[in-house]
This record gives sequence, structure tokens and C-alpha cells, in this order.
Amino acid sequence: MDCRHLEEVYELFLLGTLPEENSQDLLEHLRRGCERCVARVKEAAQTAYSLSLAGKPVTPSPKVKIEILRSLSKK
Amino acid sequence: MHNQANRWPTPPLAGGKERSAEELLDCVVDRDVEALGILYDRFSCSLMGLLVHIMSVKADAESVLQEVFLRLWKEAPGIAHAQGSLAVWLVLTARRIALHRLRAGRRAATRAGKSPDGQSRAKEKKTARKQGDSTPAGNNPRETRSASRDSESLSFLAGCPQCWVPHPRDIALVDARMGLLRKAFGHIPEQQRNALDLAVFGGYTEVEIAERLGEPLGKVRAALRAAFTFVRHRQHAVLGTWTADI
Repeated sequence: MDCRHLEEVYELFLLGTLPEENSQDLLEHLRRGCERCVARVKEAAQTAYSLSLAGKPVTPSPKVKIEILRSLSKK
Repeated sequence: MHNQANRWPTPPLAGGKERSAEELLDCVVDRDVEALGILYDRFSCSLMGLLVHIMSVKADAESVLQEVFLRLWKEAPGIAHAQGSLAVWLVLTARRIALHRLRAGRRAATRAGKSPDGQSRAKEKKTARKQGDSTPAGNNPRETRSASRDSESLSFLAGCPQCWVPHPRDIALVDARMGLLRKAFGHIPEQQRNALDLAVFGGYTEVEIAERLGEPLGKVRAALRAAFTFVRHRQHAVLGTWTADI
């Protein structure tokens, strides 16, 4: 399958902003194991990762960690 | 309580001399709560920076952060099996959960007869927090499709990480050069930047961005494509990973 038309949507897909019908096409294509697209999606994941972390870090309230650990201790 | 976050005023998401994130993940697979705590200390500040940007309200961001780490605990075996970068899994999973809640709030606002644009963003997100994930998708086909999209995407991220998670060594290079990448991204042309910010931090689709900016869809689509091409090229230049087909 010629999948070059998918070339420009990998980032939008990983960012979660690709329209449903396009996401379905890409998902089905990836599930078929297209090596080229899998490689490109991994590259796009780097882009989505670095764009997402472009802002400054923020320290969460200490209670968040306490809540998480408390939830796990109940399980 | 560990407080390693203070040791990284501008922390890279992965690395350090301690056990790697992936080594700690293996401990989490073995139900080591302390390892999860160390991972939390290592990644929570960077994730919060992203989540506060998306959610606007700190309490909402913290709620998402909590869900991310509970999900990590639950899905650790599958993530470890994929042998990809845990940092990337955390960032993209945090994004998906945050956007899922944000869209739930927008749908709730629409059902209530309010335009999401007609109220402040903080108020819109307050609605999202109140409605949370329990908000039914409603009978509007467009709303149902949006909910379905979020659900499918979340499911994909959980079920097929080997399809999309890069190798930890590739992300270690990104982390090491994050400062240079940020500088490079600062040069994205303004019009492209506006569209890109709405996609990256607002979770809007191309059609929604066009509506919000009052621009033709084709123009927005072209701006986003140009922005991603710009980012890709700068990323390759900074990381030294040029290949023949870009």
C-alpha cells in the first residue's frame, strides 16, 4: 500500500487531534505492520514529546503523590 | 517522601545516574510501590508543566497527573514489554487523558446550550472537572464520534505501545538537547505557532482550529503542515539525525 499520504498526519495522530476517520485509517494501517509508518510514527512521537515539554515544569502539590500511594496501598 | 524533582530545576524527563526509568518500570511490574514513587518524583514536574498548560486549572492538572500514575501502575507489564521509552509513554498518555477530559467539558457545555467559546477557558475546564469521565456522550452524532475517537485513541495507546514508543536511547538524546530544541521551536513563524498551540495544548482538530481562528481550513491545514515540517527539520538538525527522505 502506498502510504505516503499518511506522512503528514503522524504528529496530529499522536497529539490526539486527528479527525476520527483519519485516525481509523492510520490505526488500521499500523496494525497491519507497515514498517515505514511504524518508524515514522516513532519519529513523530519524539516530535510530540519535545513539543509537549516545551513549557516550564510545575511542581504539583505534595498531596498528589500521597493520594497515589494511598490508592495503591488499598489495592 | 522522595523529592528528586528539586534536583532538576529544569529537569530532563529521563536520565540521571540513578536507575533508569525503564529499570524502575521493571520494578513496578514486580509491584514495587517505592519504584513508582521514584518515577513520580522524576517525572511529575515536567508532566505538570504540560498538564497545567492544557487544563489551565492546577487542581484539574493534578487530577490528570494522578490518573497517569495509577494507569502506569495498572499497565506496567504491557509498557515494559514494548521496551520503549517510559518518558514518551507518560507524556503522550498524560496528553490523551487531559484532552479526553477537556473535550468532555466542551461537550457538556455544548449540551447545556452554552458555547464553549462564550465562557472563560478556566470556567470551561471547571465544567470538565465536574463532569469528568462519567459524562455520557449524548445523542449528538458529532459528540458521539468525538467520544469514540478519544476512547479509541486511549485504547490504542494502551494496547499497542510497541507501535509508537521510541527507544529510550533516542529519547535520552532528545532530553539531553531539549534546551536547544526549545530555542529552535521559538523560531516557528507566528501564524504557524497559533495553529500549532491550539493543536498541541488545546487538543483541537484542524476543522476546529479553523473555526476558532476564523481562517479557511486549507490555510490552517497548510500552517500546521508547515509547522510540523519546521519542527521536524529543526529536530533533525539539533539531534543530528538527518536522513535521505526528509
